[in-house]
Amino acid sequence: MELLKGIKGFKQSGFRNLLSGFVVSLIALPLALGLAIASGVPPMAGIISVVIGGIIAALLGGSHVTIAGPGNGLVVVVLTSVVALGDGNLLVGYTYTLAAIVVSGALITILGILRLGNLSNFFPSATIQGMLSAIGLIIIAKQIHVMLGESGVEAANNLMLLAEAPSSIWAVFHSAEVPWVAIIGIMSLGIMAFYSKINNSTFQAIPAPMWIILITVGFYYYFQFFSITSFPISTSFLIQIPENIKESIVFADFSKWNNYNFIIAVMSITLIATIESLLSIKAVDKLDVYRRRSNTNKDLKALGLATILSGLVGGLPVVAVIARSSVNVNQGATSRLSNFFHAFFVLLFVLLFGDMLNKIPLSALAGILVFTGYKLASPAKFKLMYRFGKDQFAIFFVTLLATLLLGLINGILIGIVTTFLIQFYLMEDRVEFLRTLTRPNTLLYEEEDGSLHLSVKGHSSFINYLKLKESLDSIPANKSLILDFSLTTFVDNSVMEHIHHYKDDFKKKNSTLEVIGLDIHDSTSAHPFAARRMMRLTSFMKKGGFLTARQYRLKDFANEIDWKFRSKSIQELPLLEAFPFFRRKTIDHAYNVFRGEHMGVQMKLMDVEFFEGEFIAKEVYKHSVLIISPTIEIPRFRLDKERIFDRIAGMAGFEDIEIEGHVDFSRRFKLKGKNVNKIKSFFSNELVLFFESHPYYHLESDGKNILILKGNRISSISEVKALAMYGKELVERLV
Amino acid sequence: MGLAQSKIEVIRPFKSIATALAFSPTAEALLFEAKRISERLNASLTLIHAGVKNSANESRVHELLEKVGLQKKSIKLIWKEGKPEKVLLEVCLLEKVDLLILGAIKHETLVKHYTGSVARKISRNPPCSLLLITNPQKSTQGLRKVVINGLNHLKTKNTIEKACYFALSFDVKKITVVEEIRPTEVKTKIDDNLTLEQAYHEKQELRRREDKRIFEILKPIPIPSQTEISVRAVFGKEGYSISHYAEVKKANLLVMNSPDNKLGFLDRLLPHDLEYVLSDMPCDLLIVHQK
Repeated sequence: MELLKGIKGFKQSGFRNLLSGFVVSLIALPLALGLAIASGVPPMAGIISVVIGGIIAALLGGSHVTIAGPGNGLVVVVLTSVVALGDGNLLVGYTYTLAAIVVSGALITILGILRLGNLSNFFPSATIQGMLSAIGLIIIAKQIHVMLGESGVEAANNLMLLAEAPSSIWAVFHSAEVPWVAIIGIMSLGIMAFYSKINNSTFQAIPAPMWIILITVGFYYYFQFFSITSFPISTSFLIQIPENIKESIVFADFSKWNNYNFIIAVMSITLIATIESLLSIKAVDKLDVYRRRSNTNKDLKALGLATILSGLVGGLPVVAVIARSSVNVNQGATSRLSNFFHAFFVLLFVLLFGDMLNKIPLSALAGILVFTGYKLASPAKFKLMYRFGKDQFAIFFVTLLATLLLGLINGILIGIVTTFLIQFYLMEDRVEFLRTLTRPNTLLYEEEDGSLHLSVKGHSSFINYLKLKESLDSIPANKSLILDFSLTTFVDNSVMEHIHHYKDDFKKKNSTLEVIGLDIHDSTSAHPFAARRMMRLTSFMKKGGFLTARQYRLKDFANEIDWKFRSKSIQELPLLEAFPFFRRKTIDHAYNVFRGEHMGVQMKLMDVEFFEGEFIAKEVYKHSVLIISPTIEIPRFRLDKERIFDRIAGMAGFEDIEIEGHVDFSRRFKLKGKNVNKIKSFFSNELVLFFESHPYYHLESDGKNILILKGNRISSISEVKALAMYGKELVERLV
Repeated sequence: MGLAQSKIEVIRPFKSIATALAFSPTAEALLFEAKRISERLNASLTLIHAGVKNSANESRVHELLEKVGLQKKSIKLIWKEGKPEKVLLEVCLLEKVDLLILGAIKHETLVKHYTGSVARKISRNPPCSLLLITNPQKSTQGLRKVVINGLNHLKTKNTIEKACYFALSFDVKKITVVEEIRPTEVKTKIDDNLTLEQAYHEKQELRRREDKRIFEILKPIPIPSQTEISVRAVFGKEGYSISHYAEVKKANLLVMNSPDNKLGFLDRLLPHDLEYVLSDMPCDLLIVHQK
């Protein structure tokens, strides 16, 4: 439908999408060729994937500005499968692998039909990162030799192959002739690496991979027309595209369907294709200027179908890809039309310039691939994983090594088991964790004021994240959400990371997602995504812990209003204990304390943790409270919303005090206190009007100070702000 | 109290109350609670001791009764030997007890959970209404917040009526009826913004339907003006969601329908409905029997 609309409104958006599709095709063409060659299949397999993927996803897809085509992640899987199924004969392996691609395409379609696309969110983020980095390293391991012109380098496993890299570099410097192949390869890598650094609009008008193609093809024609010597690179180092396009169509061979390697190939392709597609779709949704939410299951169905068709005629699997999609968005794409155009232009290039493409050296494409590999496994990524915490780095590293040595499926399985074991080790209530492993742990409800509240209980980790996600996904676009982790004992890194992304999503929809209840959890590192577990108070006192996002924002707010903020917990709280509210309660400690002054009146705002009852009956409460200490004399009183606040037993027995001339006030508020006359004179007209015109809070005074609080949980940032401002305004009425 | 009681005096579902008399550390406090409840509900009190009647035990019982201030004449004391849960079951049926009060631990250890304590065993197949007190107190704490299940079930009407009677007898401040709606009742599957909006509206529609059903039940119940009553629909697994809600809202008492059939070991292994509440009690629990 979107597509048709696009054609109708071609003048508006069509041209833009045509342009962005064109720019994307400039990247897609060299990448498709390179990815295919790296996968051990003929270069045209990549082109077929682009063309079929672009057209099918544009017609049937559920996302808007993602680009479909061959993906980086699948290079390794397809190559492994080609080698394993062909017993060394790449061409035979290719036809068998095509069959595996068709079957996994069908599986992906089924996943889409069954709405199981979300399952890929199950994988802990550190294992996904480990797997992606391993893929990056494998791509580098294979392609660096091609880039340097050293064909036929082989090793027992991927790690050894990577270790061979120095010897290939050595060979380049010691070759007898000019190493043209290596020079072109390194130049290609250089262009990829420094492209973004060059700040020249003419240069930037053409994407880096297209520059590489232009330069290398130009290089060929230079020798052809201007140089006296002949082209120095032999055809075995160049791309070979059949002159007749029909020849590149190869049909799948299903005869090995029950072979072990075939089944592994199907599983790997399905897994990686689904993960790569969904990660990309999710990432691209963040870029979409129209804030549309992609229908991931519909997209999976389209990508699955495209993969089937592509596999049937000799193409690579079709996935949603992030890099090409980002360019697409940057170029101003608005609809799936651009996906269609990118496929169209790639096809056009191959039909028109097929002969010229044959002049591109393989090493140039290998340079592009080495760079993509580097992006997946850059040192910065290792550093980032380390900053997430040692636990995350351990999971990441184990997954990476396992993937390198044992393959993708084994790698990710080992990663999941490692994650589970590490979390199990980090937990404090292990028996409870095992007991509640499969139980629900979330509750979404509407507060009386209409705000949505999502409470999470027990442990919250990748194991039960899908349930949490279901709740998060059911929040309507215009609604804000308070996500309360105060009943949890453990929150893992994956959940923290997902929540972080959700915060962005909410922000985009002009609503907010606020996380509360993590301030007293200990974290495994200073990074905001670090796993959290409930701290014992002693360790909290000693270390103070790392600040949570809420605490950072509280701090910012304190700076804004020029108050002092300390996150550290305080146990001596004589000021609080004087209030009747706390008479029957034991104050455990207060933390996140604000101190400030307004018009000469001292004000303190803090989160207080207190309990009622003892031992097994202990009920722990956490409230945010504000105390103002005006220097004037105030009578002892208690002010509540009529009937609502029922936690105070201390001053029972006094009648509601009526303030003459304020029927509305008397009806809505319950005012109690011993000294009726003093209270009546204290509640001046101005003060009564103030209470009538502001939201309800519970107020009480101990004769010197006034305690103000609301609700029975830690306040969200906006509520803290409202409380502070309420206090300030009240002070203005009092002084 | 007077108002609440005089108006629904006619129903008076809890005429006969019983509690187990054991020599545990919480026995005294539990007796205090039982005494208070029987006084408030204007009901007779039966004490059941599953053990040998000998002079040593008898004097301990006397001591306990004295401490609590219970007159021997005003109560019925039953001695019976045997397994506690069996004795309690038999006596409750024999004596036509309406409400049995037992002490219970909020969160049992793993082994205890699967083998089953006396209180839990009875709650899995209660002979009458059952009140599990997690934290018996000598002095009254009052009843502030009560959460009642509003499940779409034949038993619910009876449960709400009895629960309201019970709660109002204690001058409760706030009653919340929570309807748990299965997420599968929402037919729209969320795929994109449009279906998200549709699903939300469908949920609101379901909410209204459920609220209406509960209001119909609540209508004839005279609720005094000082008691706040609200109805809340949550989407989630039955039993679990209400338990989580009671915990978040720091309720003092949770009222549930009695189980439809006897809950066994398998139900503990794959918990559902009441079993969720029993495995992790958020507060005191009243299981209302239909009789």
